Amino acid sequence: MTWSANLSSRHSGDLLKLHDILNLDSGFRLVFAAYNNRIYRDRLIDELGKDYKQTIIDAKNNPALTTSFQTQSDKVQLLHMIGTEQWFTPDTSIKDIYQLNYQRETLAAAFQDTVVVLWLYDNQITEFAHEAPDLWAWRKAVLNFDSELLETKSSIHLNLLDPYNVDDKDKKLRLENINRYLQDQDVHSLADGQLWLEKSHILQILGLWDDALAAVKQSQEIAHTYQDKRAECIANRQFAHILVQQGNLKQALQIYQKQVLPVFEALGDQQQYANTLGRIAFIAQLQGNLELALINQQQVLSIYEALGDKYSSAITLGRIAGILHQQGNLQQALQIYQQVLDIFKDLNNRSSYALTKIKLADVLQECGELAQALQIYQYEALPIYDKLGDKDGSAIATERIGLIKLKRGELQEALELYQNRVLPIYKQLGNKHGILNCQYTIAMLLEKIDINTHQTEINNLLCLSLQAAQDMRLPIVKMIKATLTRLGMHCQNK
Amino acid sequence: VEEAVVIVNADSTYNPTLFATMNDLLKDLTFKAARNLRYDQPLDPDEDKSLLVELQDCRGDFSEAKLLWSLRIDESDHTRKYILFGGHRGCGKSTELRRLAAKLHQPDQYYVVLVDALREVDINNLNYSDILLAQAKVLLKKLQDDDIKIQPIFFANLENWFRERISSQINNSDFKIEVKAGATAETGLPFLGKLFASLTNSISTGSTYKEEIRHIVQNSFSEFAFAFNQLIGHAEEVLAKANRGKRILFIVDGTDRLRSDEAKHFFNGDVHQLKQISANFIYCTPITMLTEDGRIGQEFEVFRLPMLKITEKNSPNYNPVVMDKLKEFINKRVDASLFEAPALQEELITYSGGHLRDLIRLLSNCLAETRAEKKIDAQAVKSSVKQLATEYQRLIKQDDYGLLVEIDSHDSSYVPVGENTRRLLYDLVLLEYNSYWWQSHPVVRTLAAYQQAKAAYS
Repeated sequence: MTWSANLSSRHSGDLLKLHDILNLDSGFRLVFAAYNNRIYRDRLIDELGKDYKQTIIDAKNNPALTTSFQTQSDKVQLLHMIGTEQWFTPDTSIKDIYQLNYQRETLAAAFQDTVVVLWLYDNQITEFAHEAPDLWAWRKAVLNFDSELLETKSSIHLNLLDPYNVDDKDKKLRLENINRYLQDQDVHSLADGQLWLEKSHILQILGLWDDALAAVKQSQEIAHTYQDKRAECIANRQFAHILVQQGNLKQALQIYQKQVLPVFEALGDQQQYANTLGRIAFIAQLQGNLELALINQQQVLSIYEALGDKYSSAITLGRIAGILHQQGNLQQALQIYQQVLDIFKDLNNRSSYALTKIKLADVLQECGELAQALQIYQYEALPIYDKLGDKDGSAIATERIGLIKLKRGELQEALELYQNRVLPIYKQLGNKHGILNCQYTIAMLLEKIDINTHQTEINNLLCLSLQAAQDMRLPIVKMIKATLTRLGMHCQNK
Repeated sequence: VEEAVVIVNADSTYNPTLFATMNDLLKDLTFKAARNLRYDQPLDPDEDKSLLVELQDCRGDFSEAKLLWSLRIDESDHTRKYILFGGHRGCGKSTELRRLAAKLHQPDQYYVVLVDALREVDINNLNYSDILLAQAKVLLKKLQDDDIKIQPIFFANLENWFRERISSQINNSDFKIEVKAGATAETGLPFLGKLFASLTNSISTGSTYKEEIRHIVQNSFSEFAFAFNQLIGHAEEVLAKANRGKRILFIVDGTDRLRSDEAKHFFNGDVHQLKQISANFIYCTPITMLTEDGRIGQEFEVFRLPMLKITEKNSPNYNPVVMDKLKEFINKRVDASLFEAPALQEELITYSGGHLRDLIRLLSNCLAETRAEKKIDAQAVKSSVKQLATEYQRLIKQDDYGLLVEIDSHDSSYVPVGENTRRLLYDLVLLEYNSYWWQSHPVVRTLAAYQQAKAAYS
């Protein structure tokens, strides 16, 4: 056996074991090999090919997997089974594992003097062992070929966070960790692609949208290299999501319709298909095409219901209520929100329950029921968010309270809420979009309270919000500019 | 090897020829041992006598005698036996069933028909009709092979059923060609045997008309059951007269491979159809079925094949009879001279928990550690145990450790049946012994997480 410089020295022990199994043992031998870098796995397979007569069976999209055993039978010393990751996707392909489990004897009979190496991601080995216990029981060895640098990565992956609800400093720390790790990679694994995606999410919330777009492009490329259509599709969707936030609805819609929706359909992934259709409906809603939005959301709802996905059904029902609200069908919207509340209560999903309460109160506001709406924001939704430690939710609820105060003419109280409660939360979360909206609203409140006293402050706030909006290329730029013109104000830098 | 070792020990001066000879011997014995440690074939009672060890006395309360008593032939009693035979994966069920088949296949007892479900049908999504057709096929073939003369009148209904229901209703031309080819101008039992072979072949290979066949069998099941029973009844009489066995006993192996939900569907949902066939049956079943409450015990007589009980729960004393048997089990596979010390064998037995396949695995790991270059020493045993423990660790969730410690800490009456324990039993993390107590696998107890949970518990 020769040692290749292409291989990591930390795998020498397990590679030696594999060589021993090949040379010192006989009969059918099944080996589980854990890996997390496809390129490194292929390199290993290539190296083994120099010493042994081997073949590769790709389990991916191979309905005749067990029959292919017969054709390959016993002609090789080493057989690699790859493409197994699709067995673990949330569709019906887990049945392939059951089938393989039942075909254990067939496999052993076909490869009476062959080492069969089943390549699986490390975490998939556990699932495989449980779902195919009989085949697992015949294992000769479980070898670990996780690539070296990914050890650090695994700890990063374990730290996945809720980017919407983590403090700014933690987001930045996370970004630093991701950046440091990614910089060290010569070749990116598929898992790295997920890190790029996460990085994009964080950057997006921090309002660094160009960087977010660049990160998501990396994720796309990695997924494309590995021919992982699902991962590529999810990256495309994130790309389009950022475009939506920037107001580039046309391009976003094209991506959803041409690059995302058909792929999920082809993959048979109903869940993601429905999710994307929901996003398309949202664009229609933003474009004011409420009829189309409603039709699309109803289609989304029927898919989720057929899948038995209660949570997503409830979310979609809430979105339908939102469209009805926008159409002016307030009573119908209220009825549906009530229905949604009952579902979230059953599901014990407090965060979604609180958000639905807020939306229901929004309708009540529209009906002129300000007191009732305030009661809901202040004493029903906000305490839930506070109890959950959901800062983003707390900011949303407090903003609504501020709006009611504003509507009631309680301007000073509204200002206090925006200045002392809402803005600090968005700053703490590093939510650039939230900060921008807040600054603009504070400027408008100050204008109403006393424009003369607060002129400089208003000008500063408008300029700050304009700068942020321009950085993010938001449609709100026009509105801020119009306000500045109306007030006869100017910004020095931009 | 032992002689060579003695010489080497006596003469410490380096002798290249002697060392070369010794190394060759070591290598030969290691390779031979490795060949004996394969677990991809159950042992055949006739062909693998050199490896077989009598283990009946080592399984606690399980006694073959009880099963044999249940299967006793009482000519005035025509009650049919429907037995489930279950136990942990790898505890020796298939080997025991084959031994049982050999023991019961006697003129004054049974005409045993061994049906290997894995070979005969596609057990993915197994249905009662699949298994009953396979039983008919194997019986017909065995009767033919044994030259048992069956009167045509007794299989005419089965033939009719095939012709009326199967041949005429399945429009698939491939199937018709296959049936035609399978029954080349023959008549009688061979003809029928080949028809059933074609039929089960269609089911086992998952052909496009598999569902069609199932549907037809299900719709005409009472006709099929009647015809099959007619054949069985007559065959039993002919066999008894020919001194080939008084009753027919089907032993169905491989059905223990069914996943939990499919096993429930098969043994609970299809039980009434299975029991419409009037013969005696032993079905191999997964251990999860044995912890299902209620109904299964009403429909079947249940026999468990537990782990070999090397000790009582929480007792430091090992059962010398079992230890000796397992040493015999080891020495039939691995030459005793390959161990640096006999105590290492005991250590491996202890860590196996009495689970035979894991004992084989531990031995196999040890051999891999030696690389045929040295004897099995304490370090090899330690590495082997660690390797197996690490493999089990993959199957244990963090919360499981507390539960395992809790079960281990209680006396033998504590068997908290539930989803988690059922999963742990299924994954062999938790082992079941007679007289019905549970204990975590000994290698699992070496894991740091287990030790931490134990410290927290105490």
